[in-house]
Amino acid sequence: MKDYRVLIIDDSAQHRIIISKFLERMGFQNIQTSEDGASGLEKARSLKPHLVYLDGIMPTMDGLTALQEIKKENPATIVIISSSLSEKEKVLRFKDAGASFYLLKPYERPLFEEITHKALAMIEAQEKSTS
Amino acid sequence: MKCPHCEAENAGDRKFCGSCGEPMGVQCDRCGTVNESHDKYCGSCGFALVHSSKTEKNAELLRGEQESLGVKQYSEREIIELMSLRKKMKKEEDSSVSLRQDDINKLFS
Repeated sequence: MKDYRVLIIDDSAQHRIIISKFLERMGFQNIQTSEDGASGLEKARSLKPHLVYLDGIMPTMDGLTALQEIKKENPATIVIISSSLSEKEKVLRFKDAGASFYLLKPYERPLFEEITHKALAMIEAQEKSTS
Repeated sequence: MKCPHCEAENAGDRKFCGSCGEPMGVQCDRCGTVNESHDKYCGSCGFALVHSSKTEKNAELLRGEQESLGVKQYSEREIIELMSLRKKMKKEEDSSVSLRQDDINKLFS
């Protein structure tokens, strides 16, 4: 597994742990976490992650605002929304703001891995086109 | 038999008035058969005569039926406004729909 930089931004400690475990099982090693949008954005600035798992509802800065800021500062970062929000209008807002994938909580590991593999393929394709 | 239009006396078997040429009853819009004034359906093809609009008599019947059923007559402007409202309500209803993961995957594909 290539050394992808991954950031998990979720106010739920349980979800941060679950996602971390899923990623470690897939072979990811460079995983960092944040518990709200504002600190997540700070971490994204310094880490410049390839991949971000972003919760939709969080204190201090919600997921949508954090997504907009992350994509504005680093458009190449692939963002996967990990949220329980299921209303079409809200889901579409994340898509319009630049999210590449959306995992509806609660989700199982096979779906998480399927979406993550798709995200990695997207990262690889981006890197090939820029190299 | 009196003509419903000009009240001229006609023979009982006549379908059209010998004086004014108008139908002696309610003419069916579909097949043209002239039915008795009190008929609701065409005796020839079964078409609902209250839907015919060729004669004033039929138009009156239609209005009377709609009024008795409480059917409101809308103007063209009201219909456009109602259609616009319906479209807006449909859009709002659609945006509040809860999606499943499969639906979301399709949106993001």
